[in-house]
Amino acid sequence: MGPLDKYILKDDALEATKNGFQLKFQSHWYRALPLSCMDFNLKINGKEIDKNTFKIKANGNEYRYDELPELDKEWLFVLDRGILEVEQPLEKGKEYEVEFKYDLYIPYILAGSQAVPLLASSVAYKNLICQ
Amino acid sequence: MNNHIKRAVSLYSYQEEFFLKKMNLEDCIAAAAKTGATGIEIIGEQSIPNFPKLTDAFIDQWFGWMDKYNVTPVAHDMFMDYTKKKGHYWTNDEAVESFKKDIRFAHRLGFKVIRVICNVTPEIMEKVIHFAEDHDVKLGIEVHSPWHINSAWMYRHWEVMERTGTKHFGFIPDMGAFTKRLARVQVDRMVRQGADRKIADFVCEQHEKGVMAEYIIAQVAQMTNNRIDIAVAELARHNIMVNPISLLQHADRIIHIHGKFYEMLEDYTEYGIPYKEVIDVLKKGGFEGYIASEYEGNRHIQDIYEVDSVEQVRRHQEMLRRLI
Repeated sequence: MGPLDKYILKDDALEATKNGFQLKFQSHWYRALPLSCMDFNLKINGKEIDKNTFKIKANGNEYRYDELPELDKEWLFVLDRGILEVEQPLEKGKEYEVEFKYDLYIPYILAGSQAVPLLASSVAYKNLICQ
Repeated sequence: MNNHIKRAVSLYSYQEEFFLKKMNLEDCIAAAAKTGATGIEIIGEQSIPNFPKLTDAFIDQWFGWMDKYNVTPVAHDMFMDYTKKKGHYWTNDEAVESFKKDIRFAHRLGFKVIRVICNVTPEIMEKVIHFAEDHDVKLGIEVHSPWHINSAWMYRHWEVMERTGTKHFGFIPDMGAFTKRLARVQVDRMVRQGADRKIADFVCEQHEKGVMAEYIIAQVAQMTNNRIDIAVAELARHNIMVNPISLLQHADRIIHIHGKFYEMLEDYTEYGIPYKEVIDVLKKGGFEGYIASEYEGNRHIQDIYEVDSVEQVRRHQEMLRRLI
């Protein structure tokens, strides 16, 4: 749970694109973090989307999911939204049940005997109309 | 007795409204100034996009705001991101380079103090002291609960202060280490999330009596297997109450105070933190720095109330004004 987890997905978060859809998300942590400290799981109408099909966009740049762990210089500011893009068509105007698990590995809070980053995980459930 | 304690506001306090874009950075500065505070504290990565990069245009705007609202940059809160990549833990050299970025950032925006996150090691501190001196920025290790100023970890930092004799390294006590009563807003939220009310009340009573946290946790573990009940008990471990008198022996090393608070009541008292007791000690010790309001109750009430950080900070500043 993050301090701002209520606000991860806004009402306009789900949007149809030319090749599929995109989900716009905002961090639930109070301080900007790099993409290397993030992970995502997404279910649409209960069906899990294969993470390896995610494209991740931030600050106008685009990455594959497997590039995520190396992106320690690409920070997502607290007021900006990141984007998950998936090549799976959704119908514009239709309502979808979205379950978005957003994991943040807090790089300055090291927990336990192995000194691993604290996992702040939030799950946003929301019925969203595809824009 | 005359004293020279000054008041500041950490813009962290307005994070909820800032995050929701109800307030922008200038609005936060204006709200802080309106309380009568004369100092501004920020977390760089929270308030300023592209931190630690700064454009000349932003710097001009920043000092323009300081003039417009008649406030002074006081402190930047720095973090040490030891593990941004899975499995890679920063070396001291990498940590020092990151730290220097914060010092340059603070210097350019006129901050005279950096709040150093409490997990920075004494070895790293010693490596950056000269750089901080060169930039005339004082480094203050955050004395954050469950640590207190006489904890072994803080003692190791104190040894560096003494050995180097620097005037640019000191302590920043956080008021969260004087939690006489556990934050009601935090406990109530955990009850809304499924914690047992009776167990939560028991934990609060025991903590207020001064019972050692580990005993409280052990007792609760006998009552329940419910993880969230144990988490309530663990609040006693993470929110300690030490005698404020402990600050006196290090009074000459205290450079700034984090005025943590969770719930300001209408009578201008904090629900669980005895500010008067602490400020009386600071006055006795001749503290002349800033106490910066740092509101953290927002995150515990956002699920059922509209957060009003502006009002909470106003009350906190009024309390400080009266006590100082």
